[in-house]
Amino acid sequence: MAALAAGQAGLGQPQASPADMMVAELKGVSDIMARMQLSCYSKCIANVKEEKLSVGEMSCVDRCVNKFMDVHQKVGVELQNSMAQQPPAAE
Amino acid sequence: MSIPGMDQLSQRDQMQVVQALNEMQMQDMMNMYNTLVERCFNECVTSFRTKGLEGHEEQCVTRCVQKFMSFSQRVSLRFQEKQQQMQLQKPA
Repeated sequence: MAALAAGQAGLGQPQASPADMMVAELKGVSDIMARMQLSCYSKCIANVKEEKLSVGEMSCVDRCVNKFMDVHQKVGVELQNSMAQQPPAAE
Repeated sequence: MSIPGMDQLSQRDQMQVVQALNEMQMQDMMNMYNTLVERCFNECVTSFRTKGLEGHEEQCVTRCVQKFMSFSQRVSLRFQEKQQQMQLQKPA
């Protein structure tokens, strides 16, 4: 996550301050959390007939978070790869 | 507060980060509140025979909020664990 942000800051723009970088990263994390909650809730929680999480729901949530983060990482890698292969056309 | 790398920033930068963090937390809170209202409303309110919430609807909303809170706690916990694990795996 940090590496991607750092890469982008290098593209000709004035260097972002360390505080800006950190805030951007925190924003990224909080955004990911929100999205993950939306996805995993709709994938794992079918109804609220029971107040407590069932065993099945718990393991679904655990796996969901794990997989979501794996995808997050994988997409980051793939993006970097494809951006390295064909750098954005310079204008 | 324990944000990794925070102690390497200048006093001024730290203040800036903390201020942004507070704003974000406020924003996240409002977002969560509104999403939860939407979610529990859609899940629990399915008829409009009465003006106010019916008994079972009210109970449903209580369960819905409770359930979301345990869900949310679990997600943050697992998220933290996963992040730590990924940090360790990352070759320095």
